[in-house]
Amino acid sequence: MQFLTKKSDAEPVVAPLWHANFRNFDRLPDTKVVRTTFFINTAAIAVTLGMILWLGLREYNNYNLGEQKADAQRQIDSNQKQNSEALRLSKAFLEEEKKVNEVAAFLKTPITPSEFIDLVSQSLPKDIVIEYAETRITDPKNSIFQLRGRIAGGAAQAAGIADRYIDMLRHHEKLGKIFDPITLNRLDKDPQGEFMAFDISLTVKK
Amino acid sequence: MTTEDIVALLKKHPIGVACALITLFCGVLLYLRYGEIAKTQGQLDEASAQAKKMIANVRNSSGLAEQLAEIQALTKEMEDRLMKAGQLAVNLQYFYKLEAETEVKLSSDPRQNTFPRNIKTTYGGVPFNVAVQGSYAHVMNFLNKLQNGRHFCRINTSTMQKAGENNSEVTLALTLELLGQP
Repeated sequence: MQFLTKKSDAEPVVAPLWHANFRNFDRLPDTKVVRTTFFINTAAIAVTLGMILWLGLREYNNYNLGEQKADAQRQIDSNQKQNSEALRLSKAFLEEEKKVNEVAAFLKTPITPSEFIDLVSQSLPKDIVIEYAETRITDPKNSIFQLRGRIAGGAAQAAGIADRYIDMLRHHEKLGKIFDPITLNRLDKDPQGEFMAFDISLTVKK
Repeated sequence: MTTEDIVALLKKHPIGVACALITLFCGVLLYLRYGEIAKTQGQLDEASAQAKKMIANVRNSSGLAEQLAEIQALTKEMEDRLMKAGQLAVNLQYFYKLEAETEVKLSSDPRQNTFPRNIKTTYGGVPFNVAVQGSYAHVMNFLNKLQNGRHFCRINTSTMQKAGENNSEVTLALTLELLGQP
């Protein structure tokens, strides 16, 4: 029944040694086609060259940066005097400019009183008389102008004239651009009964 | 492994040992100088930015000296037109002169109000109250001369109305500021 036994369990076939092995493998020459030392040396040289290249590249970059830095420094040194002078001039200019801007801001107004009165008087219809004109410029964006006067004729006729006048002011080439809203606040019978008294306010556009 | 074995191994692989030593040396150098590039790069960026700024400053300043001279002449001219708040008599004289030039009549003596203290700007408005009476043409002339006169003028409020029922003249009351210094 020996043929039923598993192969792994079978006794290994060992050929009996016919003489003792006296070879010293450490001292024997490497007789491989490519010696192991070659691989070791090649790997060592490759790694070393890699390290040298890496270091060299970094140092070269550093040197380049240093050169560029020195170049920038030379530019700084050569422009130092002119730059100081430019800064001095610029500072002086800014101080002067500030003064000019202050004056411009002081004078800035949407419309001067004389210009306003001029424009109103030039565009005044013959049926209307202005008796009172007020300008109040508290700040350029919060200013109210006021006109008070009289309109000839009866209430219905005066209402029509006032309405057309307001419309004309709103569409006036200059006044219309500066004021909004332009409002008729009041249209009353004059105490003497001959005219209609009106009150118009003009608010500077915000 | 004894020392003799190590020496024998070193003698057996001299190239490998030399390479290992060089690699070690390179590694140490790389480690020690690791931050050098970043440091130099930072310094270069800083120096380049400064150099660029300086070059731009120098380039932009061409003609600045002439422009400065021009604006200085302008501000000098402006400052000659400023009112001195402390010179009350001289200031009031300005309105009397205008009165004489334009043939209006000052309804009351012009009043100079207090010059604002602690202003944050170089100049400030010297406040006045002025009231005049005269024909419409004369009053308008006064107003125009005031606005475009020697001193820089800002009219804060103005009221123009008929002087009276049977009077063809008009009155003009103004609160105004003339640009000046203390």
